[in-house]
Amino acid sequence: MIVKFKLLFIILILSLFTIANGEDRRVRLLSLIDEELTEVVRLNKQVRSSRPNLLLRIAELYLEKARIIKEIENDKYLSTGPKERRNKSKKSFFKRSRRYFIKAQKTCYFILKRFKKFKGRSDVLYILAFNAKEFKKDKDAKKYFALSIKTSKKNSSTRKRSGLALAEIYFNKKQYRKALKLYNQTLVSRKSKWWTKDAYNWAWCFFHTGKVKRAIKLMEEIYQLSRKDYYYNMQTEVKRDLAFFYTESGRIKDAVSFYKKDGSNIAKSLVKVGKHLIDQGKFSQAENILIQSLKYTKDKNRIIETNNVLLNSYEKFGKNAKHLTTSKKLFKFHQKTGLNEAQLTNLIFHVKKMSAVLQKQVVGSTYIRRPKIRKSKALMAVDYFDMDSKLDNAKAHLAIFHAAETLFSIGHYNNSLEKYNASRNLSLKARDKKIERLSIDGMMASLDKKGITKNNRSKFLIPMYQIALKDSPGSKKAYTIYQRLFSTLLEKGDIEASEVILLKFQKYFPKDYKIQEAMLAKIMYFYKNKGNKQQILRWIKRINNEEFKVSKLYANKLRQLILTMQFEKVEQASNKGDKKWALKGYVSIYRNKASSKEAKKNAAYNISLLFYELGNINFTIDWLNRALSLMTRSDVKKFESTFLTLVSDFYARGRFKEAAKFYKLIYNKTCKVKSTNKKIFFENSITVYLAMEKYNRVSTLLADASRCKISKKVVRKSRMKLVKELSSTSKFSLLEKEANQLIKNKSLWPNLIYPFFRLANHYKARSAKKSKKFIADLKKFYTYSVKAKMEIPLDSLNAYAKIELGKLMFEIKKIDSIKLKFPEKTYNATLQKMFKQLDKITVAATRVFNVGSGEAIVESYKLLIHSYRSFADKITSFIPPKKSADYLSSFKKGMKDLVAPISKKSIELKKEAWGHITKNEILSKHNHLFNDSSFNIEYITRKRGILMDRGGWK
Amino acid sequence: MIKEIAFSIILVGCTTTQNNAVKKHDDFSEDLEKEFSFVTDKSFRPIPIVKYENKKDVFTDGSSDDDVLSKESLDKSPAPRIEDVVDSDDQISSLISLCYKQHFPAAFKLIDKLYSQYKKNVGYWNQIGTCYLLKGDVSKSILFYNKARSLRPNFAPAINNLGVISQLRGKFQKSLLAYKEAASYSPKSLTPKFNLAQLYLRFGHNKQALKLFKQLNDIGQDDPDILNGLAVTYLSMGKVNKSLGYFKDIDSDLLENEHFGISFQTHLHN
Repeated sequence: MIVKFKLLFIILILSLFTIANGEDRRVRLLSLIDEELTEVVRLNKQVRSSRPNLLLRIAELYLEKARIIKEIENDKYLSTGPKERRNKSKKSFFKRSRRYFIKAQKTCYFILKRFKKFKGRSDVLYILAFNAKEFKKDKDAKKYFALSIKTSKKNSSTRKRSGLALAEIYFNKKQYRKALKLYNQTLVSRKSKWWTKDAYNWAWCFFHTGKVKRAIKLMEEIYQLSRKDYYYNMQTEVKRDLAFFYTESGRIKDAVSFYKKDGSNIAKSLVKVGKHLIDQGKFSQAENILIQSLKYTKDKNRIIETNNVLLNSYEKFGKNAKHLTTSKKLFKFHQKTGLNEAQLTNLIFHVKKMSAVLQKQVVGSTYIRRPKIRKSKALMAVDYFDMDSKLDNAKAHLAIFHAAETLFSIGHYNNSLEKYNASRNLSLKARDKKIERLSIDGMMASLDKKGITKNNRSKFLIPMYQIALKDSPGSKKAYTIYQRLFSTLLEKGDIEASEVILLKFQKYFPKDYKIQEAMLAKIMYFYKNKGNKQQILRWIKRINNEEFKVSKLYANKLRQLILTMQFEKVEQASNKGDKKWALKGYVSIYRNKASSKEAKKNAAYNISLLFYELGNINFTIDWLNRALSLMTRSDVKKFESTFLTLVSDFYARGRFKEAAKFYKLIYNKTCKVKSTNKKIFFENSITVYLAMEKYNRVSTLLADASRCKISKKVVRKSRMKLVKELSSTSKFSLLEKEANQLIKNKSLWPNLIYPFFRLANHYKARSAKKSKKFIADLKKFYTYSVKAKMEIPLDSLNAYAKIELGKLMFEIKKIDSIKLKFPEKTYNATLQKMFKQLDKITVAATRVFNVGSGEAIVESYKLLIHSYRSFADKITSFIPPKKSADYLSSFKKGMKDLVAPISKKSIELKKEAWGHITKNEILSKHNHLFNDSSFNIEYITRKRGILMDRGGWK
Repeated sequence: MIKEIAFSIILVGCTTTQNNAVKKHDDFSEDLEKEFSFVTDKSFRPIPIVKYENKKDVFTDGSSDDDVLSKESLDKSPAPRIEDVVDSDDQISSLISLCYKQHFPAAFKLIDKLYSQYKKNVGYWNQIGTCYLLKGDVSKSILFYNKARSLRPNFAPAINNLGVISQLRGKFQKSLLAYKEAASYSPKSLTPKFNLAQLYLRFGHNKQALKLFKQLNDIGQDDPDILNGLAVTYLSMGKVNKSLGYFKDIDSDLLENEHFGISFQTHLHN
C-alpha cells in the first residue's frame, strides 16, 4: 500500500514536473527514481525475488525511468542537425530508454510467470500494455489492456486506466463504437481532473456514431468543466469542435449563440473551425463553415482572410469555378479598396497559377474530345488572364495575348480578334515587339476564319492587312494578304484601292499571272455590273499592251464580256417581244466598226433567225451567209440543228442553189468535228445536187466523204442513187467510174445490172472488150442475185432479159440462114438441122421467160412464133427441082403432115403469149400481135398521162 | 424560234444584270429606221397554217361535162377554163393555173408567198411538183411529189403524177402500178382511172380499158377523150358500129386533132 502510494506520488510529481519543468527537473526525477530503485532492488535481493510487490515496484520504476530518459533522448534527437541525424540511425538515439523499457518488461514477464495468483497481476499487465503501446505494438497493447481490465477489480483505478488507454487506442484506430463502449464504462465519474481530456474523445465518439445531440451536450459539459481550475482545460478544442458539431447538425444559430454567450468573435471562431477542417481534409464542411462565417463579419480584413482561406481550399480541392468566383470577389476588393501586400501576392499567385493551368489544359490533348469542358476551361482561363492583366500591369499585354490565344484555340475568333487587338495595343505601349508581331499574326489568323462578323471584318481587316503589307510587302504571307485585301476592298466597292492592290501585287509577284488574271477578272466584273464600258475598255487596252499577261481562256472570256455588254439591251428587247427593235439593234452591232468579229458573228446569226421568223427567205439567206463566213467549226457545230432547219426550208422553197451551197458549207465546217447532223448535211447535199443534175459535184462529195468520216454504208447508198440517176443520162464515163466503185458490195448487185447494161451498150460500138466485160459482170450480178433470192428491180430484169433475147435472136438468125436443097439426102439432113435449131430456139426462149421481164417475154413469144411460122413456111414453099408431078404431090403431102404440128404450135404459142399478157398486165408494144382484135390499130393517146392536181372528191 | 435566239444568248456566256429599261426610240439612225420600215412588230406574229382538207381539195370553178376530170385536174382543160381558175379565191387553184399557163416566175413567186401558210399542206407540195414538171424539170418535180408523199403517203395526186413521170420516161409497167396504187387509195378519183384506161388501150388490154372508159363515160358523157377511148376500144375489138357511134359523138372540130383524128381515119379506112 505504501509502495502504491509512493508510486502514485512519484507519477503525480513526475507529471507535474514534466509539464512544469525542463531538463533539470527530469534529471532530479531520475535521481529520485534511481534512489528508490537501488533501495527496492536491494530489498528484492534480500528476499530473493520472493515478493511480487517488490518486483512490481521495480518494473514500475524501470518504466518511469525509461519514459523520462526517452523524453531526454527525444529532445536530443530533435536538437540534432539534419546532417548528423541522417548519418545516425534513429534507434541509436533511444538506446538507453529502450534498455529500461525492456527491463520493465522482463520484470513483468518474470512476475507473471513466477506468481500466477498474484493479486496485482492487472497492474503488471497494465505495465506490459503500456510498454507495448510505447513500442507501437498496438495489437499487444490492446491484448494486455483487455487482460488488465479483465483481471482488475470493478471500479479499481487499474481497470479505469486500462479502460481509458484501450478506448484511446480504439479511438485512434477510428473504431468509435468500441471506444464509446469503454468510455461509457470508464468516464461515468467526473472526479478525475483529466476527465475533460478523455471526455473530449468520448464526445467525438458520440459524433462519429451519429449521436450528435449527445456529442454536443457532452462538449458543452466539457466546456463548462474546463472553465474550472480543477479540470484540465479543453476550452479551445471544445469551442472549435462544438462550432463544427453545430454546423454539421444545421444548428448554426446555436453555434452563434454559443459563441455569443462565450463572448468570442463568431466569424473568427468559425474560420478557425474551417481551417481545422481543411487540415483534416474535410473540404465541404470547411467550405460551409467558412461561408457561414462571412455572414457574421463586416471586417474587411476578416472577409479577405476568409476568402483567401477559401481560395486556397478551392485550389487544393480543384474547385475551379468557385476558385474563379472567389478570385473575382477578391479582385473587386482590390479594385475598390486595395489588398495588403500579402493578400495581393496570394491573389496574383492564384490568378497566374490558375490561368496557366487552365490554358495548358485547353491547349493540351486531354479535353480535345470533350469540347464543352474545354470551352468552359478556356473561358475561365480568359477571365483569369483578364484579372492578371489588371493585377500585374507590367505584363498586362502578355496576359491579354494569352487570353486571345486561348479564345482562338476554342474557335471564338471574334473574341480572339479583339483580344489580339488589345494585346497589340498594350504591346506597343510596353514596347514588346515580339508580342506585337504575334498579336498581328493572331489577328490575321482570326480574320481568316469563318464566322468573323461583318463588323469585325470591316473594322479590322483592311487596317491589319495594310499593317502586314507595310512590314513585308514581298513576303510569302504578303502573297495571300494581297489577294484577301483585294477581295475585301472590292467587296466594299472600293475599286480604286483594289486596283492599287492589283498593281502592287503585280510589282512584287510579277510572274504570278494566274492570280493577276483572277484579280483582273474581278475588276472587269465590277465594271460590267456598273455598266462602265469605258473602264473595261481601259483595262482591255492595258492587257492588249501586254501590261498584264492573260491566258487564252480568259482572253476569250473578256471578248465575251464585251459581247455581253453589246448584246444586253438587244437581247432584253428580243426577250420582251420587241423583235423589230432587236433586229435593228443586231444590225447596228454588225455594222459598228468597233464590233469584234465575235459580235458581228452573233449579230448576223441572230439577224438571220429574225428574218427567218419573218419568213423573209432572201434576207435569211443573206445574213446566214454572213454569219457562217464568220463562224468557226465549233460555232457551226453548236448551231447545226438550227442550220438544218433553215437550209431545209431554203430547199423546200425551191432555193436549190442556196440550199446546196449551205449544205455543203456546213458539211465542210462540221467535217472534222463530231456532229450529230453531219450525215444529214451530207445526204441532203447529195439530194439537192442530184435534183440540180450536178452529178460531178455529187461525185466529188462522195470521193471526199471518208475524210469527213461519213460511214461507208451512207456513202454506198448515196453512190447508188447517183448511179441510178446517171443510168438514165448519157454521162457514161462518170457512170462507169461510180458504178465500178460499187462492185465490191454484193448486196447492190441486183441494182447494178441495169447500169452495167447501159455501159455495155454504150461501149458496144466503141470498145467490144469493155462491152463484153460489162456484160460478163452483169451476168455475174444476175446469177448471184437469183441464187441469193434477192429482189431484182424491173429495169435490171428487162436489161438482163435483153441479153438473153440477143441470144435467142442469134439462134433465130441461124435458122433463117438455112436454105433447103435437093438432092433428097441433103434436104433431109438440112431438115434435121432445122429441127435441131428450132429446139435450140425454144430453149433460148425459155431462158428469156425464166428471167421474168414482161416486155422480154412478149418479145420472145413474138420471135418464137416467127421462127415456127417461117420454119413451116420454108418447108411448105420448097419445091424440089426437076421432079415429077407425082413426086411433087407425094412430097407436098409428106411435108404438109410434117409442118402441121409446127403450125399448130405457133397458134398455141400465140394464145399462150396472150394468156401471159393479160394475166400479168404486160404493157409491151408487141401486145397487139397477140390479141384477138380484128383491127390492128394504134391508139394515139396524149403524149403522157394526165396530171392530177386535186385529191378530194364530192 | 425564240428557243434558237435564247440559245444564242447562252453562247454569249454571261448573264445580264443591268436593270436599264429597254429604250424604244431614238436608239437608231434615221437611215436604219427607214431601212427596216417594212418590218413591224406584227410581222413577227405567227402566220396561221392552212391545213389540208380532203373535201375541199377540188376545183369548184369552171367544171364541165366535156371534161370528166375537171374537178381534179386542169391538165386537159381548155385555156379559158384555166384562166377562170387563175382568178379563183383559192390560192392553190391560182397557183395550179399559173403553172399550167406556163407563167412560171409568177407561179414560183406565189409558191414562195404561200410557203409559211401552206408548208404543211400536201396539196401545196403536189402542185410545186407539177409546176416543175410542166417547166420540164422532171428531177425536181419528183422531189416535191415525194415531199407530198412524205406528208401523206397515200395522197393519190402525188402517186398518180409520179406514174405520169414514169410513163413519160417509157416505164409503162411502173406507171401502171402507180396509177393502180393511186386508184386504190382514192377509188373515187377519176384521173388515175383515166390514165389506166389509156394505158390499157394503148397496149391492147381492151377489156380493162373498155370497163374503165365506160365508168368514166357514165360520169361525163361529153368528154371527147372518153368518147375517143370508147370508140377506139370498140374498133380494136372489131365492134365497128359501136365504135362509130362514139366517134359520131365527138365534136367534128376535135377530129382535126391528131389523137382523135388518126383513130377516126383508121376507122374509116377499115
